[in-house]
Amino acid sequence: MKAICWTGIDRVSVETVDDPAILNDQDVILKVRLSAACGSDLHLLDGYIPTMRAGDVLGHEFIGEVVEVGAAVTKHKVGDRVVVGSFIACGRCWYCRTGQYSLCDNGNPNPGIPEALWGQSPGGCFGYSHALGGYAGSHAEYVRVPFADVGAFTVPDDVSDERAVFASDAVPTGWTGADLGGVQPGDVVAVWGAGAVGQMAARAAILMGAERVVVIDRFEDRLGQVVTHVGAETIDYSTSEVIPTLKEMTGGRGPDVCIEAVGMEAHRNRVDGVYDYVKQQLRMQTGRPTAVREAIEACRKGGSVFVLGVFGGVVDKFPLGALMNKGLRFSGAQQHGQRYIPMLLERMQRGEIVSEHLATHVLPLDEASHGYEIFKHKRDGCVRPVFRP
Amino acid sequence: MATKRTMGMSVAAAGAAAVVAVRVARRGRPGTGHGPGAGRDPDGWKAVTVLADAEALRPGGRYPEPLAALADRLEIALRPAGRDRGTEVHARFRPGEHPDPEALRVALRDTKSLVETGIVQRADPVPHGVRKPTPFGIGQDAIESRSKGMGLL
Ligand SMILES: NC(=O)c1ccc[n+]([C@@H]2O[C@H](COP(=O)([O-])OP(=O)(O)OC[C@H]3O[C@@H](n4cnc5c(N)ncnc54)[C@H](O)[C@@H]3O)[C@@H](O)[C@H]2O)c1
Ligand SMILES: [Zn+2]
Ligand SMILES: [Zn+2]
Repeated sequence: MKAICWTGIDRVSVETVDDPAILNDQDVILKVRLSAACGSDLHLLDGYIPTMRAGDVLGHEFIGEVVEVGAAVTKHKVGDRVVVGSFIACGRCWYCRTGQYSLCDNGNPNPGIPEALWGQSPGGCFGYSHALGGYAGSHAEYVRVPFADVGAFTVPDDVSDERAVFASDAVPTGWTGADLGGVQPGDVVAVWGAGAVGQMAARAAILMGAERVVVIDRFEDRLGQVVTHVGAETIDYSTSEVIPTLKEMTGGRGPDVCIEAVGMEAHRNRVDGVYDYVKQQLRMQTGRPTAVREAIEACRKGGSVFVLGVFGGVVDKFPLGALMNKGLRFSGAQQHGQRYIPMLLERMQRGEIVSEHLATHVLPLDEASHGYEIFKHKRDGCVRPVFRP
Repeated sequence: MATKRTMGMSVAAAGAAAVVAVRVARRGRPGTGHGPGAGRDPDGWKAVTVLADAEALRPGGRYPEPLAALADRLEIALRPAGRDRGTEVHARFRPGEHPDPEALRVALRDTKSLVETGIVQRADPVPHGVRKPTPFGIGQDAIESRSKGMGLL
């Protein structure tokens, strides 16, 4: 079959690879209908996530049709249209049972690598390095879905592929940030990053009853989407100073919940951003936490800061003093999709969550290089290139 | 620029690989293991917590195959994990047995997975594009193939 493979820094290629096979009786095989590129892929492309191997098939946000079913699968049959959470989780360990699916104990066949990096191993992920299991991704004609009864969800007929595909990753990620960040009715919530993840975090906060939600970015087209499709306010950090603006908006308090949806390659809009860039290039830190720092500074005393952006290792000049002296709650997570996807599909069905506008470019697999190029440089209004095999 | 960045990546990835390798080497060196399990725990114990009661862990008095295969050479202790977390399985090689910490880690992890899910998950054989046999890639494959026996368990 045809697939989009990572071949090195800034390089992808479309190659012919083996078809996936059922490896155990809890798997299904999907014929991929749509597979979206995610901001996380950009960290792979830019070489900031170790343990990628040339030839790895990319992609972890997808919808497809079941074409083969393992003997122990009970929820799915051939022909079902399903969306699949990007993290691979067993559904039966203590973490899964408590709704923390991305922390699954049994989803990652290579636990020694993340244990060496982080002390413990999270679950596995499609197409996302050998530290997260070395599974093939979904930018391909077919994909194997392990633990299919846990990770795959039938999509209601009246939800389009273009909307439902984002129930795989961007939408549950946003929901994870707002939910675990502790958004309460009446809160003011600030979100850094107007990519798919930031937009969906803002939408989640609105649906949870936040009184004001504001998204921070510098790209006019993305900020425009925030206003039109998400219903949140915006701050363009290229023309406004973020912290004073947020203070003014909140009567001098600062937002109750600050969600960071930028990740390890934050744009250097502040002096510390230049410092971060140089240190990251010299591999003296593995991420640029510019937006995380700003979120911590902006947050109200006793508020909550939640990191959705992906980081791989260590960062520098972390404002521990602000965190401690302001009494902040600080946490982060890879998304716990399986916990939220059924509810999110219902909200998609009711039109409470709209996401198809994120699929700005629907392309064949053959246009992988072009798709990633415009996504990386945010050209041509690209928010997510979505591949249709 | 491209070359520099490629090198940067290799350094970062090699760094990660080195961390893994150093930890393995440190434990594998003869004489550094203090106890019969030759692990980091001074007495050589390693442990996993399984979301199951002790009975389900040892149906009919026999452990699941990954652990049963080593059981003759091991001391195994089961303990309630507290709260709603199931059962802790602690194991180490008996005094006088040649300790194989990698095998013990694999056995504990696979036992846990089998009891909890009925299977041991795997990604291989995985569809992939061209993989040139570079030294870096070969090193990474070697680490990956041993990853379940490595780590901090
Ligand atoms: N936690 C999870 O499970 C999970 C899931 C998916 C994605 N992610 C991560 O979330 C992050 C965002 O993903 P995405 O797909 O939306 O990516 P994206 O690249 O489309 O969007 C990132 C946005 O952040 C903006 N940005 C950059 N620097 C900024 C700064 N200093 N202040 C404010 N905004 C800034 C960019 O302009 C861009 O619009 C990535 O790090 C991705 O890896 C995490
Ligand atoms: Zn993603
Ligand atoms: Zn699990």
